[in-house]
Amino acid sequence: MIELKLVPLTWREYKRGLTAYFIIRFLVEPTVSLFIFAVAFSSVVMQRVEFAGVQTSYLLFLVPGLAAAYTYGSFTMTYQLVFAERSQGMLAILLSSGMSKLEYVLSKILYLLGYVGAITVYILLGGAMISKELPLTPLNSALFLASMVLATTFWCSLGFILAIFVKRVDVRDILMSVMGTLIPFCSTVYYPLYRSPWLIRTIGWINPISAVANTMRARFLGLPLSELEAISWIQLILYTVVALVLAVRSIRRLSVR
Amino acid sequence: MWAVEARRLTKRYGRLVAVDDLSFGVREGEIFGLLGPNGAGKTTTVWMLTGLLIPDSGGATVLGHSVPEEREALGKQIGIMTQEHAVDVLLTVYDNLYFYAWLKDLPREVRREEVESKLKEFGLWERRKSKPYELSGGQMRRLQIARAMLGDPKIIFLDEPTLGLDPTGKKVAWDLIREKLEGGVTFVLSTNEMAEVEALCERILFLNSGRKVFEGSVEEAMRRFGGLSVITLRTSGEISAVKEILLDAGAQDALPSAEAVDVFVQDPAEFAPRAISALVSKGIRVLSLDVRKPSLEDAFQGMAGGD
Repeated sequence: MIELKLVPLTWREYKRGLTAYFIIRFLVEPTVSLFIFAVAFSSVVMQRVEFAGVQTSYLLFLVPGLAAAYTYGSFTMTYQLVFAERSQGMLAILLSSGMSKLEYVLSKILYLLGYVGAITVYILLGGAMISKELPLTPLNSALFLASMVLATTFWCSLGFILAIFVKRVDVRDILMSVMGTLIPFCSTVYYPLYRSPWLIRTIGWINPISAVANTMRARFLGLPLSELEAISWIQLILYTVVALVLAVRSIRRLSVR
Repeated sequence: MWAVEARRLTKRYGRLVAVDDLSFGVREGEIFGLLGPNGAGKTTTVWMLTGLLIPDSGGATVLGHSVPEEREALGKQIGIMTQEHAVDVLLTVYDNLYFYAWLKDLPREVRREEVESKLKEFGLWERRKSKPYELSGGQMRRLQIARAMLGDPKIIFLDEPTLGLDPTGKKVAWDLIREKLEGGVTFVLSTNEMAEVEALCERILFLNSGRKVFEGSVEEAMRRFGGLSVITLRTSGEISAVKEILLDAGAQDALPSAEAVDVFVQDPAEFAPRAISALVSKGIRVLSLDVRKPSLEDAFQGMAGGD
């Protein structure tokens, strides 16, 4: 039964996503980020940086970090889409068609995997053009992709869980604002944590986006498997499985009110 | 045959009892009005009947399916229009209908045809490439009604379907509802528009604070809750004297104004000749006499206050 309604639901997500607004946003945001952080930071703040015991250029350090940061976008998008569809009555219309709640969640994940995947490719190509380097091998590309899929699934599941339980607009706004600052900036996305104060370092290590950034970065740079990368893969898989299980268990609580 | 049978439905939101021990039935092929003041529990009732909300206790059967347990099986047979502008603003008018037709499992070969016919039927063909936010309020309502009617559902739940429509738009919507009714479709119409109820509904359910106040025909509601008829009399006599004569003739109450007296009576046909005789016998001429029977609006007020 699942495949019957999953197809139109996913079609709808892509049809909505392929509007001029989204495409412009999709191109502008990563481009601006690449130029501000990669070009400006690497020339003004730090040109070389250490990751997993290896010295690398800040630009090559940052490109996979940015890709990791964009997986976080699937959290905000899932959260806001579900929140808006419930408050605007669209969820009632969808559910009245006989659609299962699981299909609803899966369609969001499928759409966001495509969205995050496209941005990731764009960032990698943009980074390659600026640095004139694209060190990814086919095997490392597959592992890089696996990290992206796990991260997107994790963030979508988390966004879905929060949309079910946080129904107040003011609480939502505070949460989004705090998480929007804390998650990308208190992590290994933009800088290595080893020189940070202990509080930032502690938050950074448990922050799921650090695990995403570390795994993507290690595969992007083609480094031998390090302790940091191994721990990061374990963290990422664990976070994803727990979030997915919780999301599936919360599905029955998804309500039109 | 019953299209809907609700049995002791109860729904609470925290400490608020939104629907309280509600039982009623909707016959197949009728337009059933769901009335009540704002916050009476109408939308919650519709949501429980369509399987969108799980009742705290009680249950319902819709077209033979138990809800909410069989919500997914019921999906193909129902249409729903909510009070909010629940449309996809990033999709065109055409794509909104196409997506919903697909979601309701309409076969690919008829999907396009069905959407095009609905767009033409509801006067939206020219706006098919527009985004919903470019539509007028009336066009938006029509889009939502068109979507609710996609795929020939057997029962359609409409929440304030003509809110914001001009008189022509209302007539178009009512005619379409009547047309579908002839095809055997059952309608549950949640509305506070009394003209709509009088024009369309055979039976109504009136809710107040989540409880059933009345279930029955529109005529019976007016008879039981409409209150007294009002006769406005203009005479050649002095107003206070006329008032006394009318009260003596059996009026339940009389309110004098500058030029006339409003008389409240149960049966105006029986009272009017008696009042005229009484006035004439005192040498007072009746210049004009207007009768206003209780309206559904009056009955609504009566039911809302008669909790």
